[in-house]
Amino acid sequence: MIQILAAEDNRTDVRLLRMALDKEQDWPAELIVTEDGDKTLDYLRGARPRLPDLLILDLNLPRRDGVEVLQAVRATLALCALPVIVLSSSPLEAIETRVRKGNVAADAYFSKPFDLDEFLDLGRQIRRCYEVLSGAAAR
Amino acid sequence: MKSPLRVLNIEDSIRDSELLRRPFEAAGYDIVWERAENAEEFRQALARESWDVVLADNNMPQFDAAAALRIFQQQALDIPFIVVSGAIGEDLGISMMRAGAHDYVLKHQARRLVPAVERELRETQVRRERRAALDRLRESEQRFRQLAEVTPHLVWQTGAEGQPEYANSRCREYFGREAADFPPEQWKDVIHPEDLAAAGAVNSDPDRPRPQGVEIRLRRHDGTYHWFIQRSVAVRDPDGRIQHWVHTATDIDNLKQHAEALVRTNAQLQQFAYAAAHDLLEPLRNVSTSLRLLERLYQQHPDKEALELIAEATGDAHRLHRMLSGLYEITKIDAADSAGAVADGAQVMRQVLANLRTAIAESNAEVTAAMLPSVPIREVHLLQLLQNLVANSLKFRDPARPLRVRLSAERQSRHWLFSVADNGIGFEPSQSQRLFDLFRRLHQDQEGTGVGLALCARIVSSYGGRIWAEGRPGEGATFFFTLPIREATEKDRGVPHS
Repeated sequence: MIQILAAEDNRTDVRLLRMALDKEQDWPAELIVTEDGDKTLDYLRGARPRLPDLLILDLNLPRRDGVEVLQAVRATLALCALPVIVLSSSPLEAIETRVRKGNVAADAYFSKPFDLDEFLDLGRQIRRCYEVLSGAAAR
Repeated sequence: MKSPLRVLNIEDSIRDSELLRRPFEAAGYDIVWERAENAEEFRQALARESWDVVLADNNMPQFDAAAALRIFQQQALDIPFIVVSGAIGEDLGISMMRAGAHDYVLKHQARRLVPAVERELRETQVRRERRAALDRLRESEQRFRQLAEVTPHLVWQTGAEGQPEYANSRCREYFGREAADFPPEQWKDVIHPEDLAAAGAVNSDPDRPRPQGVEIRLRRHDGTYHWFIQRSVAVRDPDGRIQHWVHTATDIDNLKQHAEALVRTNAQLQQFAYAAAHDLLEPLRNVSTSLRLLERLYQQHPDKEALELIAEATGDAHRLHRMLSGLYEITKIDAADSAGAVADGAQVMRQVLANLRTAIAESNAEVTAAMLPSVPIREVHLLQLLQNLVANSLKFRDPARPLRVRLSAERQSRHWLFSVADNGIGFEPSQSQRLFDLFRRLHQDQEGTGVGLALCARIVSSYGGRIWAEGRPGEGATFFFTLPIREATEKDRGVPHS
């Protein structure tokens, strides 16, 4: 079972994300949630020996925002290889611009869909994305 | 042609007067000749008309030349006064000349008379011209001073070496210095330290010509700095040597402040747009997805009324979403980053037709475009413009007839004039301005958010163009907009690449 850390303070989005991942029945994933930037980094730094397999990162987090979290992740040797998917509310282009302004990069960017069915399809997209990133698709 | 000559002769003898007149006629003058016998006649003649010369006989018992000269001088006339006498001693002649007569001639030397008068006329002419030139100079000087004093600008003049020569009162007030004390020896005393470089090495070369003007801050007498456009122009003599420098400084402090305020406001607007697009979108999305989850629950235990209410609320949430997205698109438009951009009209039009393929097919419309040019704007902007206008035509088609939309562009002297004409339902001409207002919809029964045309207006105006619409209800609508003409590049001129 893979472990996914979602840095997300929006409870509706957490619920939807859980539903979306549950739809992928042959891809069991454990979802861990942290509600602000500081807690996210605290969790990651204390998560030895096992790191989560994937970080799904909202940009608008309380305390430290998503860009700051991403900067800290990329600057920490033990964390820098962690696959990170940014999932935020803005239009995709605005999300990428905002991250790029912080001089960092995520592995993938998604804009939270307005439509429920599209949101619930995110589970499939996250899975594919993870498989590409981890090379699992090749196996 | 004979030269006219008007002579006023003071003479009591008709015969002598005739004798005096003859040599002038012989010399070919077209003569007007009047004889005055006494002071009264002389005064009247002087007052009545203008004369070229006065010839005064000195041998009249009751009115001699000296008396005539005094009357003549009271009139302050610049014409020759020549004394003519049967017998005149050297002493008398000299005393008359001293009194102000221009010459004296003996009657028996009548040969001398004409040349003497001619010489005096020439000298009078020279005197008049010189005086007129001086008057003009004085007048021009006065006009310059008046202009320099009433102008709201700071004006000062320096010599070739930069030494103070003149400073207008506005300049003296502003700097709190006397004219002789301005400009100061050290420019850094009055120019803001950060602007010394812009003012151009003013210490070493204070009067470097700056006809285009530089924007610098100048220090007022109270120590505050204000923005000015400062210009300096050299005044040269006919050989090209610099005689003076004329300097002006125009207060642009208000303009600068407004421009800065505008930049701040724009930045705030940009932030607001981001907030609208993001911070408002997030809770709205929560509302919308929660509604859909609620809908799912009710579908398991159907409740018709609840499902209707949920559908309405979901519809509104989606509309609000489209409005916020449109608002974000509009505030994002900025022509500033369009340097070097070129949009190929024909290619963009193909893209528009591809994007709207389904809608065009569904409304069975005929959309044609004639030779759209390349314009120096970002491709995405031309795409948004054309696509929104065509979509607008599709939306407001008249069900009574097949829709035809025709796009064209015409090159005018300063810009391209684009037009998008349709035969749809049109609009009330009185509404033509409001069409472009954000979130305004003229036809309430139509789908839409009132963003498309506002977006078009924003794009066009950000490139300095104009957009407007003409139409009548039931007769279709034509949208016009102007875009800049692309400057010819080397490639366009056929210069081969190396």
